[in-house]
Amino acid sequence: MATVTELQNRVDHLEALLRERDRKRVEEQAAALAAQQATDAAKDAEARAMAAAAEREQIRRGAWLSHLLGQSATDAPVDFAAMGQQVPATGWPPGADESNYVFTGGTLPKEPDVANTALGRTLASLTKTI
Amino acid sequence: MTKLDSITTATATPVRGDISPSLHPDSILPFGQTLATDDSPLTAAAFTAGRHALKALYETQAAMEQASLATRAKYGSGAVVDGSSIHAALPDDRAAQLAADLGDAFSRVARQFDLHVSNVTETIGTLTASIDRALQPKSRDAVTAQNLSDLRKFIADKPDGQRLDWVHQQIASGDLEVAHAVLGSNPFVSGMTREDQKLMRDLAAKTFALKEHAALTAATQMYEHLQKASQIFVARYKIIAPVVKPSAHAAAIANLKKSA
Repeated sequence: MATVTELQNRVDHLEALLRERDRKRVEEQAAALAAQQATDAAKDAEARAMAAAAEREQIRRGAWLSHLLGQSATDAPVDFAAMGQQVPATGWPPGADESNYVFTGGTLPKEPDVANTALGRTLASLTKTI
Repeated sequence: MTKLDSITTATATPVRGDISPSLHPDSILPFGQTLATDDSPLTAAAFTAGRHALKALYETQAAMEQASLATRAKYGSGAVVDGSSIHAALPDDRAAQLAADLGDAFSRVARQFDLHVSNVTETIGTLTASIDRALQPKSRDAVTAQNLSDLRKFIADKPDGQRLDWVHQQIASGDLEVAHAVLGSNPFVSGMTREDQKLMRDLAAKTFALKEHAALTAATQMYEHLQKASQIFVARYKIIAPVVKPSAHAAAIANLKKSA
């Protein structure tokens, strides 16, 4: 028959195993959370970069159109479609550069309200009917 | 490896016994035969989006079930019968925590699901437009318009019992001009009803835009399946998410704000 010390040792051993299991689980959860946060941060940074690039491109095109309008004859009809095609793919119009403009970082795409998603609407309808 | 194989491998999801099979990405596998083809990146993308939408629902529900089960096993006491299920009662603080976590997961999956489903609906729109283009006359000159008008008069003059059958035969045998005539104007001009015209449109799509029609049918059925899956997911969420009653403190603050 096992002595009290032996039983205590077994309990200690089992408790140590449980502690180890809990520690591993918490570590895994922490790693998963850190990975999720890193992914979210990367996505956020990418969205910001895209918004800033879109704003810069919009202002650059606007600057070119303004330049082309200034060059065209004042009494001639303006063909905006044709003018839009004359805007070069890169670069700024003569006499202008990025320092002439204020960039606000663009508009970030807004995440839809959960209530307006398909799942949100279904949940709302269930809540009303039950 | 075929396109279908590569998509199914990339979105493979382990099967669980406690989640409805309608939520599993493999439940839309039959549509993959039509949609996930090498020569149509558009429909392949829609099929991939459908798989991702279901994968998001399936994995989120698995995580929700696990969280609910683990919380109730650890902190649950007694049994609660709330009309829809019997489960272990949770202390208020644990119920609030579980409800918040499940709500957070719900919000995330709701946005992901919408994003993927929007891809499917866009594809349905593109396929519909593509079929519309295939069923419209290529030339719009006066001679063509006059021909089509004459055809409509000819069809309208046919006896009621023979009209639809005749049009059906002509379209089925590949007469695109008859299809242009009956589909390009109000159905009543050709002596048909709106339902008749819809039937003839379907037949013409099958005849003159077979591939697009098959893809549209598969994409539409897949979209309907996604809607059903979302309803199953939400119904289950409603059962496992604990109902959190506002604390006495929160209720008192709300009353104070109301009376202010």
